[in-house]
Amino acid sequence: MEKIVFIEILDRWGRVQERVRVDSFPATIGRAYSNRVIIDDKHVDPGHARISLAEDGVLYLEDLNSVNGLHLVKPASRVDRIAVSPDLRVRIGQTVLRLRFEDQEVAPAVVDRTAEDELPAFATNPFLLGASLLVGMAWFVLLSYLGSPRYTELADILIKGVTTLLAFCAWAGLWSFASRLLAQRFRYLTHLSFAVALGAVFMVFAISHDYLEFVVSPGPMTIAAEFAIIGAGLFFLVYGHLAILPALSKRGKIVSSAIAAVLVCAFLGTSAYSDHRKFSTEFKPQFSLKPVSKKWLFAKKPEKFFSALPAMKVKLDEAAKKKLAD
Amino acid sequence: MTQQRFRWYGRFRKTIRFLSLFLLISALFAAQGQAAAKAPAPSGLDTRAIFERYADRIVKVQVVESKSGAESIIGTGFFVSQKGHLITNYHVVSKYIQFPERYKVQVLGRTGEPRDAVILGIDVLSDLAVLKDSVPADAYFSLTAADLPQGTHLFSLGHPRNISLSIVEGTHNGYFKQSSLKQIHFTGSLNPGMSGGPAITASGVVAGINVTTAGNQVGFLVPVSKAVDLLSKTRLNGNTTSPDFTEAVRSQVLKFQESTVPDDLIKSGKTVRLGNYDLPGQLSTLFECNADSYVEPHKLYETVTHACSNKEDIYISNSLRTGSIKIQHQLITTDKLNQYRFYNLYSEFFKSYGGPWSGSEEELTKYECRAGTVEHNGAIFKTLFCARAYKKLPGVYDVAFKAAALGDRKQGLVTSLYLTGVSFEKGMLLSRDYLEKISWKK
Repeated sequence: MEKIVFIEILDRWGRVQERVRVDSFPATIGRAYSNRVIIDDKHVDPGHARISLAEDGVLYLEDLNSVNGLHLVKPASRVDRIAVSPDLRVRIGQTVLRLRFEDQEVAPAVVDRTAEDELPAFATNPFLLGASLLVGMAWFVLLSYLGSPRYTELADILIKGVTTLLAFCAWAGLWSFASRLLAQRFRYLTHLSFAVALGAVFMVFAISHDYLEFVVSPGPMTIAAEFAIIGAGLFFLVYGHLAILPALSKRGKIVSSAIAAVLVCAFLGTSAYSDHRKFSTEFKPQFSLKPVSKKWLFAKKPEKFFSALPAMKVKLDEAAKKKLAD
Repeated sequence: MTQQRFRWYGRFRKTIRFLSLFLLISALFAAQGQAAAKAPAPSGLDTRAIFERYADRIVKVQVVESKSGAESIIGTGFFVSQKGHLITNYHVVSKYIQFPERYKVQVLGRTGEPRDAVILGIDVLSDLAVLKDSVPADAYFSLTAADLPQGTHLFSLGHPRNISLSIVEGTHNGYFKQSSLKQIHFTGSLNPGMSGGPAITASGVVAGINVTTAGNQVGFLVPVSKAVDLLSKTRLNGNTTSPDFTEAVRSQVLKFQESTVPDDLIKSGKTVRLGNYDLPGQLSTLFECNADSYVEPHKLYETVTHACSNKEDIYISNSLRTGSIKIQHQLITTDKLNQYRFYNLYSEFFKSYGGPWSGSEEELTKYECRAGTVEHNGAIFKTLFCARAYKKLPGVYDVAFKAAALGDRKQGLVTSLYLTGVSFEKGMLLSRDYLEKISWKK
């Protein structure tokens, strides 16, 4: 039977750099171009080693009196001649060679997660994406108009809208770039309209929170709600972009989105806390006034408001004493 | 973060405020300069003779940093006894009273070296202090509670801006009645550094003690009767070191509050009408009110502001003043803005702070606030009660109460009460009365 051996030149991470099929013997290995297997390594002799078929049908690898010799990788030892066994690893110079036969078993194929996430039709429909972009931008423009009680020209409003759009474009561009690098897909419009749509939904929650903070006076609950909204917004933002990208398994997407959300929330929380601790000679209500119908205001009797104040005195006296002791 | 969204705006406004304050102060200084340039025309009296006769009764008072011996604050003082007792302003020596371990008080005659002095008594409200020099005085003024008529010609002596002893002519122009302290209005150019010096008649009767200047030839004197009172209350012998005055400052501030801020201050005060609201107005004769209106250039909205405040201004330290009470109403009306835009505007008014700007972290805590929604007389208000404590004066607080009328989509009312140097209980009581006094009629 005809013997065939594959000599694989491995790189320093153990990946196959070059694979040579050898089916006629003897075959030489070395740096010279006359060799069957040419190795570009200055520690390798021009004619370093040879594989030959013995009469008993066994393949042998032998050293041709090279300067640096022929070495077994495991156990590390210098040899002059060695029988070729399946998956044999040897080192010549600084290069590791792996020798395999045709009947080498290989692992079954791994499922390609990145290809699995083909987007649903609506996520790539340009008309739908364009429409969501338009609606989202109109919503932002409207909010910016309602948010300012100052005199505004139409041009100011449009400029604000365009500026917002540009910011979103830059953001989507970053994701598309990453997408192109990592998964060979660009999907710019999908990234863009997703970011705008999520931003628009986020604003709905942010505004609801402002109303909540106005109706229920600010306290631990409203702060928790605020962080929940910001955290959830960030989580979905990162998760969505990763899904469009596409990269990572479902678990990986969840974990990395959660990490991103927690990190940003921690950063915001720390900066808000240090702001809160800072001394100031003025006070500023945390909430804004909102046009809410009287029945939703849950107004209480003045007594109830004033009877809760003595607790504040205790707190202030403690603060005054504590700072004096410092 | 709701409060962060507008932060850049707040900063901007703060800068504007600082700028305007700066402009105001520079204008004052400029005005002072001009005033000094056109000094009063020489009168028939021999100013030079008066100066020569009384100069040795006046000393420079300085607070120096203990380690370096460098001057921190200078003022003037004058002898009132043969034993070396001196009268000066509390604000001249307040830095020492606040930080006795970091500063010392010295007096300096016309010739000779600075001598250490001790503080024997203070009157924070009148801004006076009694000092004792380490050596007896050669000459002194004997004080009597003289009540001189308006128009009396006075000579004020002191060390303006660390220049040598100066004499300034001026006129006694009656009492400044807006303040409970009844200072004498002196028409003459007082300058920083002259604080604590005497204002005397040609015959050497002390009428008052130089205390402040409002620029443009307007100065104020503490009536001599206050110094007589303080001397009679102070133990003049014995002490060789200055005692701790923190408790004295505290009890004087609280006593002042008890006498000038009665429990029925709001209840017994007048009301003022703004739109459909009846609101607390001039609270007593010690309050001055003013009103203003503004129409936005594009007629988006208009505001009417009404504010009343007393003229009390008690110097506690370089960075802290107390005693002021202020109320302010802002009525904001719109025809053109829709409810969402209008409420953003309304919020800005509600969030703007109109209280005292003075104070440092060494002296005050941060404000603590509590917000609520209350129904009163058929109207609904968002209320905000904030307070901060004086760290070195336990039991003394600054209190603010704000209310914003809710429910109307075209009109808003922000009303605020700012109290300084009061007890917490009085702050609560007056805030309650304040809300109680607001009424609304269709």
